[in-house]
Amino acid sequence: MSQPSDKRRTLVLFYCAAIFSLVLLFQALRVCAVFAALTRSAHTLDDRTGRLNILTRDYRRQLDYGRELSVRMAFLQDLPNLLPEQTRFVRTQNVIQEEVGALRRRIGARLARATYVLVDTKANKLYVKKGLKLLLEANCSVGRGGLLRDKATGRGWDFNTPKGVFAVVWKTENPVWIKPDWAFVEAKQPIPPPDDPARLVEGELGGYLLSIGNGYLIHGTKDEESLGRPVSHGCVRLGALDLEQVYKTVPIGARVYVY
Amino acid sequence: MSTDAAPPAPPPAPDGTWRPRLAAAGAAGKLALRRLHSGIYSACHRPLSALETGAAGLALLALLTLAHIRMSHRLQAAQADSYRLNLPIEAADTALETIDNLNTLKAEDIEQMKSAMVGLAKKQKKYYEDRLALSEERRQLEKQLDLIETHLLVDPALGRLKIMRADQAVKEYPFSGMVYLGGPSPSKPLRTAFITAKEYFAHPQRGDVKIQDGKIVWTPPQIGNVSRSDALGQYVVFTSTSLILHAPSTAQAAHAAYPHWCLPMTVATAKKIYDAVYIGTRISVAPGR
Repeated sequence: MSQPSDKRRTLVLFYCAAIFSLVLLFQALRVCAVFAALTRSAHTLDDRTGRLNILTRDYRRQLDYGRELSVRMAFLQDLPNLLPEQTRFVRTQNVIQEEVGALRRRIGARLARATYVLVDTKANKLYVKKGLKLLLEANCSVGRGGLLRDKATGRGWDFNTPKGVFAVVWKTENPVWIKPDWAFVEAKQPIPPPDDPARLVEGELGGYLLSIGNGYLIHGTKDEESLGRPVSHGCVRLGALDLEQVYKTVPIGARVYVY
Repeated sequence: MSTDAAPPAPPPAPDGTWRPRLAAAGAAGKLALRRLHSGIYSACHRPLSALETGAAGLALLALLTLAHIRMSHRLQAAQADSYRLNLPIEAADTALETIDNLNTLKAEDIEQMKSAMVGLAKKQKKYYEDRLALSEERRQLEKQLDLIETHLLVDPALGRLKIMRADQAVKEYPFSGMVYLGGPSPSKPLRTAFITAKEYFAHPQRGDVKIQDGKIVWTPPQIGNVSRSDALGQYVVFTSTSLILHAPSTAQAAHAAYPHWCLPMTVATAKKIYDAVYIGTRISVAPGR
């Protein structure tokens, strides 16, 4: 049989043990809570470290990009220095504009609405204009200049394109050229008799031909590469397309100004 | 207990070598292990006293408290670290944002500059092309005007030949009288002529182009040593009339025999006139002769 003092002692011990267990439990929970917080904190720390790394990397990348942009900007800022000042240009251009206006009025009064041809022998260019309106601008070839002499006969030929005012005398399509003596002399070939078939050359003069008098022609060429250079024998050579347009645009009687 | 009894010692080897010692050590080990097992068994089955339980509880509490303290410290340190990281992160964020903004501005500037450069280049190109076109047209118009307006005015009474540009005399050259050579003077007075050919040396044969049986026959001007060349010499300007401008001929007799209106002039004058006139240039002869 147990004594009441033993019971009380047992109860006291029990309650003490219970309280102590609660304290232990409480402490264990606190430890768990701190542990959880520590874990979270560690994650946060990791995240922040990671973020800092990313930011640093991005910053470096942006720095590099910024440097590259600065180089590009410096290049672009230097570019305007390559271009000339405009103000002087504009002033001069205005003056030229006025001069051209005056010239237009003078020429326009004389030519009215006539269609005519201009041949620039220095630039090897041909223009077709109606009044002051430009209808066609084309590369051409004018006389190469110089003389060709035939030592055998003493004859010689002049291959210049004379400057002056000419007129379209007649024009024809698909001309067949009879090679003259000078062509054989130039090619250092024996000169055949006048009616020899060797003299007949088709296509040499192109699809169209315009005679501007004094023995000078506007015709085509097989060697369109040479257009723009003075290589002809005095005539004005044109490319096939330009020649066709000139043929169709320029009427007989139209003036041809060769300068 | 029989389990506590020590095993009987192995009989000593007759030769006294390592075998009996090894057997003795094995037996001692087994004995120790057996005693440990029996101790654990008896401890587990022995009821704990309140004091022992309390001591174990206190120890556990102390451990937990210690763990809590250590972990709290760690937590604080981690939180402090985390907090400390906030500053560089914020600074980096700000710096990144700033540099990003700067770069964006730079990029925008560059784009603007590029478009401005494109515009500028196009504008410059247009200026350049306009100017070229204008210069080209001016050249055309000036040359055309020169061709149209240039004409010669011959005044036989004064012995002057003027190169005119519209109504203005550009140049004036002397010549010694206007004479007709190679025959009797034509009754019809010479008033107007047009230049039809310019020949550095008078060609024996003029250039020609004709259609012969539907085919083109073209002969460029020929030069040569024939009477026509001899008679007219150098810098020969033929006109639509019998007036011929040329430098003095070395063949006097041939010159005198060649029928033409002649304006005797020096080689230098003939050259200047030759260079200044064009095919189609009008020549007016002032009355008075």
